[in-house]
Amino acid sequence: MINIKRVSHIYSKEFYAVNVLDGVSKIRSLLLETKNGCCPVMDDGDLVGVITYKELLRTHPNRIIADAMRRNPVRVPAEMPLWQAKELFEETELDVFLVEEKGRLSGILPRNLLEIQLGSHIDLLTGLYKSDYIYYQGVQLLENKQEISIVFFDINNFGIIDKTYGHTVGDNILIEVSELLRENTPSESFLCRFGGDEFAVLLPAHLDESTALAYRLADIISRHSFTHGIEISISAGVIGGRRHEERADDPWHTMEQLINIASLRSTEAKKSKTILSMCEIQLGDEIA
Amino acid sequence: MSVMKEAKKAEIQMHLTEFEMPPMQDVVIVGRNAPIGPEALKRMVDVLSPDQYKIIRVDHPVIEAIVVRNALMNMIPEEKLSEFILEEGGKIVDESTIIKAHVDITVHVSKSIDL
Repeated sequence: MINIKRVSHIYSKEFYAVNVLDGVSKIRSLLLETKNGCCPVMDDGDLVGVITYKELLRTHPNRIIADAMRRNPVRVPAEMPLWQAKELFEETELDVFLVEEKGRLSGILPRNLLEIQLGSHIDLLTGLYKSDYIYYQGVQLLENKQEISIVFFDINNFGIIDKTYGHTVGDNILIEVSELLRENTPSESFLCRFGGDEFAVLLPAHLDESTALAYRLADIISRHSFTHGIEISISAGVIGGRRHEERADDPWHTMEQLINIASLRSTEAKKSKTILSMCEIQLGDEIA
Repeated sequence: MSVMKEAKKAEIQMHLTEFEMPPMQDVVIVGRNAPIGPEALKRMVDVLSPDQYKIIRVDHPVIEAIVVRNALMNMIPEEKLSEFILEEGGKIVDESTIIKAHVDITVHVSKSIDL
């Protein structure tokens, strides 16, 4: 089972709730003292808003919290994936969400905390996202019953290149390949470095489109002049299909299976010394 | 040797005026960085004169909100009134000020009837 990062893994359970009639100056000191960046605001036992340290700094110190807070705070369930929370932050332009578990307020999720966490989901060498990102985006496509296809590939003989030219050269090749991918994958696709010399591109498109993309990327990479004049080729596995009806099966599990098949197809292509091995499936039939 | 006598005197003045109920009139214009915000004002007058005032939050570079006596809005629509207040108030209010305004509305009615 994919261990996708969720809000529950990172949110802050230690928080102070303040009263709507508290003074701005007092709460500013409280947040400084407790090293908190924000807190929920209560009025007569009801949650009415949320206040951040940034908002407190902007507000006249004589005011009450009711005149500084942000009303209608956004509440998110603790089981929300981090990627979804990131999208929601971008959409709402807020700095903090309140987190609920079993319908009860259980903590806060400041935007900067999420950004720090998501930073660990970015591959430092290539700047590409790690596999978590593809899983989350794939599940969104499956849940929306959209067309989905995946190109999974690795660099042929990368281990030999590493041993022959050294790991620094190997790293430079990975960086160059990543740049080629970034420049040549469609804007609506999702790209990640899956691990080592493996990359994956997720497309909201039919298998035919992914197949064409795989051939195009293989061609671009094979024609590119890499460092030390090293010739690079790739082996790709492509899988595609669409979820036709509402099914009870877990889309995370389906996504895991899809990636797995694409990865096996890539290995198959490598063994048979072809560029590509592909597989079309009816999602929910072969996989479930 | 002579002894100096120190004398201290205090003068007390007191001005008595009637407390305004509530301590604001028809309209209060609140600047974006005023020391008292519209919610605090509303709560204050609600305690002294319940349900007589309404906060109208406005989209204005300097003014955050206006707090208006409900009775005025029975005479002319809220949008017309707030537009007028913003137009005139905007000329003298800055971000840190709170201005109270007295607004007189006279409605002229003329009607012809059959005799």
